[in-house]
Amino acid sequence: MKEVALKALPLKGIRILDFTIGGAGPFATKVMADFGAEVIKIETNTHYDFPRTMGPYAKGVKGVNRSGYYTNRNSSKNGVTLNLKKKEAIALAKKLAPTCDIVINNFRAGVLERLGLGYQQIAELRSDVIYVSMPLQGSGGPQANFSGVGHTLNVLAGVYGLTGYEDGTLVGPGTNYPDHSVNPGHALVAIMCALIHRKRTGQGQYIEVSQLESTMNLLGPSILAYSLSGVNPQMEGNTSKSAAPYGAFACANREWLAISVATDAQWAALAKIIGEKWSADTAYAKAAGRLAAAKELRKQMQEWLRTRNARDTMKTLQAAGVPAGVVQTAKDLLERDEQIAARGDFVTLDHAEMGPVVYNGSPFILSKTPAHLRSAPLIGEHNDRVFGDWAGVPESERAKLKEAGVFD
Amino acid sequence: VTFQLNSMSPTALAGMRVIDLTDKSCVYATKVLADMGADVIRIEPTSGDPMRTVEPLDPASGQSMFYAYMNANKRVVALDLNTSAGVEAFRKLVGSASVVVESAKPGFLASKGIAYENFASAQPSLVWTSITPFGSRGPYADWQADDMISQAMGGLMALSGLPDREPLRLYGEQACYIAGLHAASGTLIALWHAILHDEGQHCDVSIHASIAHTLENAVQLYSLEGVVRERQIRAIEAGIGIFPCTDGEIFVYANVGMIASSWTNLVRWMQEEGIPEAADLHEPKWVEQSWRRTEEARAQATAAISALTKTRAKYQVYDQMQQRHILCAPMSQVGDLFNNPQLKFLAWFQTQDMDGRNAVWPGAPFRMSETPRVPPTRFPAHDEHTTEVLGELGLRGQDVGAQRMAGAR
Repeated sequence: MKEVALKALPLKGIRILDFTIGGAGPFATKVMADFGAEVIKIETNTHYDFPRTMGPYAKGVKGVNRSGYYTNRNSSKNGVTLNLKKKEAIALAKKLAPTCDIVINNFRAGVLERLGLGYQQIAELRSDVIYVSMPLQGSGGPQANFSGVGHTLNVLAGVYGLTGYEDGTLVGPGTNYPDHSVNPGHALVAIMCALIHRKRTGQGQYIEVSQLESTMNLLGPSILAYSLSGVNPQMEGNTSKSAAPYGAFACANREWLAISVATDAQWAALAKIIGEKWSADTAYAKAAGRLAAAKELRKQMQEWLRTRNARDTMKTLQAAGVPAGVVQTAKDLLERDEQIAARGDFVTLDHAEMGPVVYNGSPFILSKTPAHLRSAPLIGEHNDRVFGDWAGVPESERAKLKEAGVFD
Repeated sequence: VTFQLNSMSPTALAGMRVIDLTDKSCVYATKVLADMGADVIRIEPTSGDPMRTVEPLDPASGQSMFYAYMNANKRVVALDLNTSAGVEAFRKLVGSASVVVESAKPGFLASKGIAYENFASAQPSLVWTSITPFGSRGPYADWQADDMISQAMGGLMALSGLPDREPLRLYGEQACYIAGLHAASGTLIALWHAILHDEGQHCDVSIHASIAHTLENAVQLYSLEGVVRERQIRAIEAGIGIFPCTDGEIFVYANVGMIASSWTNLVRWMQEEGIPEAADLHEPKWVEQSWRRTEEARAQATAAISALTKTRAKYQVYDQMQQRHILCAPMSQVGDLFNNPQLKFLAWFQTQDMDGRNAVWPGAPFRMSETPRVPPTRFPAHDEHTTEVLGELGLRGQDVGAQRMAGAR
């Protein structure tokens, strides 16, 4: 082991000028911040990063520094305010840019270019910059300046049209689904690959994560299949072509239990628990027999489970080797999930205004360089650190800029 | 780390060997690394890869398009890890690699003497990523899950579906993409550290925790406000819903909670058009959630918006609403995606020959100016690269033959 102390964070020394707002962009830079990158989160008081005004709020009390949607996506970052409508603010951003390895934004195509902060303009200041844009659907083309959020992306990318019950009842995902792991994940993979390439060659590059192109890969196999067959895939609900019994079943106390029996061994274990009637039925011993009787098995599973306790049954089934899982709510994850607690998948940090705040930690644990989360910033909390210590603007000068509204 | 740091490389991960022992629960992790130019060697059982039967299947050939999509540009080696020859070949493969990504049941590889611990001292810069349903350690570590159970346990399923019906899983092995991307991210962060400091490590990915990272605001809504978020109808509020067009439908998302200007812009347009149901929609109560969520409000808004959309084609109303900054999107089945004018302009779809037929592959999930992804060409056949890859490890032909006889095949 050279240079690095045992618990040093792996992205120490990487600095990011982060213009991303909302859901998807900030979740990518959050991971980098949690693993040690210096992320400068650019915000403005003239138009808050909208998660700050969406809540949920600590104790339900509204406030720009009280939103959990915001904190969860901005842990470990340095928050600064910069009113980009002022030319002095652009000058400050350009002063910071050469010290940054990565510049990232998810504005509509062309917005930063018009402000003088596009890729070519930044690359003149630092030739090996890694510049990331996350437009909705590309920076060129007939719809390049269209707007969207996760819910509209679900629709545009075809995800919505396949999310429904097997009887054809269309429902759509309950969330702005691609904002939360997929689009940030693709951005993060691209950035890490670009860092590795830069280390090998000294070369920076331009990255474009079109959120539509990213999201459509979630249906990659279906797109490929359609191109050969010309047949649209159908909504499946909670049914399966390879497992039976399979589904989400109502249990006691308005809880639900998902069960999926894919192998003969799993069936034998389930049948043994349910009792003689199922154990004795040799028609179900092999997968083909179970799949042929999938509807009947589903009905019988539901009858068996209706009055049972979902969590106890899950534990019994899992102990016997039958895949089963409670349809958990966030409350269950926080209060009843022993695995989440044992791994420390959620991290609670004190926040100056909110008190204790629960964050998503990292779903991957790096054995030698684990994540280290720090509280999300108050609005403008790190103006002095970033503009003073890092950009080297003297205090007297900063006071003048503040007076002129540059830090609004 | 085994690649040359000063070599000019056309792909980001050129020269990086990745051993791929993942299943359908998370294989997207190694698909992404292969896209970026890594030399991904996928280990499959000598009896065949179970992933080759995962839906969707091409009805004409019976081949799994899930397998094709996830494994293009990988090389495939068939090994029987229940034989000593198979285990020995696996050891040699790991010895040649920078990264291992596996989804074996916790303890299985250790029982064969081929877990991370068995390689760490000889290969100090090795990055080893384990992806399991609940993580390698902890009370549920030995539990089993599939896509639906991961979506259920991780809290995602509770958020989708109708309130009066059962919770609904998202379509198409979504846990594989979610966990795969978190795993690829962790692997690359660990690889970055290994490149800088010659120090490898274990990356332990929980599919369960990956899903629990995908719940929008549900965790915070409960922990801060005590509210348990449950499934709700999509058109919960006036201004949200699917509306008829002359040739399909358009989804409109003019709510007031997220980006409120959509609603005010929509109302202005409907009033300009003289739609009678829209005459009073500018009144203050129409920005109050309590009113907007009533059946009466939703019915009136639906009538007004439908009057606007039903005389227009889907892409026409999409253009017109976008020009007025109203959030919306055309309803799309998979087949419709091929007619999306923006995707056509971007030349996103990539047509390739597949056994004499034209197959259309999705374009890249992201674009990189200097290190673009390796375009998909074809996907490997069973056992296709066993001789080639074992040969590269310095085994003479007859040794490879012996390996194959004794267990590698």
